[in-house]
Amino acid sequence: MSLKNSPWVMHFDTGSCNGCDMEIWALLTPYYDIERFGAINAGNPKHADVLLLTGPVNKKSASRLKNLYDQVPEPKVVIAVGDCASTGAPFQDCYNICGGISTVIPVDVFVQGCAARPEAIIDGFSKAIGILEEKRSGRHGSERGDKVAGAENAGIQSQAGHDSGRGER
Amino acid sequence: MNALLALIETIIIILIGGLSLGIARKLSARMQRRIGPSIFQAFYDVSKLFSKEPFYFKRLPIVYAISSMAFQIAAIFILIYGGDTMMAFFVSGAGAVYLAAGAFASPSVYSWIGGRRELLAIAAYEPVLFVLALSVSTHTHNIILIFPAVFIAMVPVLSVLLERSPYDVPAAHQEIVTGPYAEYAGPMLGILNIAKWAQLGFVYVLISMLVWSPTLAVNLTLKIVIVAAAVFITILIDNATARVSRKTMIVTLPIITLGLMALNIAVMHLAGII
Repeated sequence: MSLKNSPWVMHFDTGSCNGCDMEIWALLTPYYDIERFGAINAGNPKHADVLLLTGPVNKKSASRLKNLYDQVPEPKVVIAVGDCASTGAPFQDCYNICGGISTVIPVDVFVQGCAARPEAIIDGFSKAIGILEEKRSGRHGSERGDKVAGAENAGIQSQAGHDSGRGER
Repeated sequence: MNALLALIETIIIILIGGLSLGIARKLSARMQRRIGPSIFQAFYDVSKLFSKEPFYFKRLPIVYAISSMAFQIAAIFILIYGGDTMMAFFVSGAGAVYLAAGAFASPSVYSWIGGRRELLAIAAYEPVLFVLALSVSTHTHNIILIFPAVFIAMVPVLSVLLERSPYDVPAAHQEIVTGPYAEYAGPMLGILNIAKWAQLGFVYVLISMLVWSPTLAVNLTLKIVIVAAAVFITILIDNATARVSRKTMIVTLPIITLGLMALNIAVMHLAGII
């Protein structure tokens, strides 16, 4: 109950184009208002429960990402926001890119879309809160890795892709 | 028996301090047309922090954090138990200094910046709080009728303590990763949050002492209304202003508040009331 009602978020950009970051900041606006879940943007890994990560992880930021992840006290969840954060997307084979958050640290929830829509991020966020609660009570099995979270998000992926295609002006 | 009653009242006041943080966040959200968090958010936050992994790096900051909480709670207890108001004020001040000392005890640069800013904020608001404590300890009737400036001066002080604009310089949220709290995590952050509730509760008690009525019901209503009014005005100002620099804070906060009080005394003296 306690963790569910106050997930503090830390947002880190691992080299994204800022598209997903703008959508994350949109969550704090009156329209989406993520604070109604009790979330605040902590900006400090030692205070955070949820890591909201964007970008394909370039080689420079990989060590910093690992460092930040280690500073977050348990229990914690990691959300990879956007296609780049999930797989590396168009930058996958670039010489300076690791190719997705999951190549550096374990990820719990993948949110698809380029850029990920705020609704999709909120959906992923509420899934992450559930996982956070599971982790605290010890129900979160080690077998529940990236694969399961990815399958659960399959619906969102197609929806988000459809929306972002339509939304071009 | 009397001491037990005072202890229970102390706990209630600390909880009111915590509740006021949740109400402040809800009020702020409603002013921005957001739904906002629950009014019990401060309690959820602290219960979460105590369920997190303890993340200790050194022993000294832990001592300072626990001292900070103990001193703030002791300040309320002294006030409720009928001790000297000035004594309670200085004990609460010591608790605030321990927070800054805890920030300096850790090796992080951000924590040091936060500690320095915390000390500057203490230098700015403690004189104002001192005058309030002095006025409530030397007068027993409705002080607000003679010294309304004391109430107005409490708004900038609450702005510092509630970490709201324009004087939220020490914590400063994202700017310096929450200042003096930067190196605390998990249960220790929870303890510092409780220290903050107690400090707020102490200031609320001082503010509530500005009004008084012989009837218990009227007395309680008056006290709640005056504290709620102070918090409401603080949140209103928070939503209308931006954060000032630390230099502006240390110059404007004491000048505005102490200047208003001096003006108040001068006017009352010239009018022949005091």
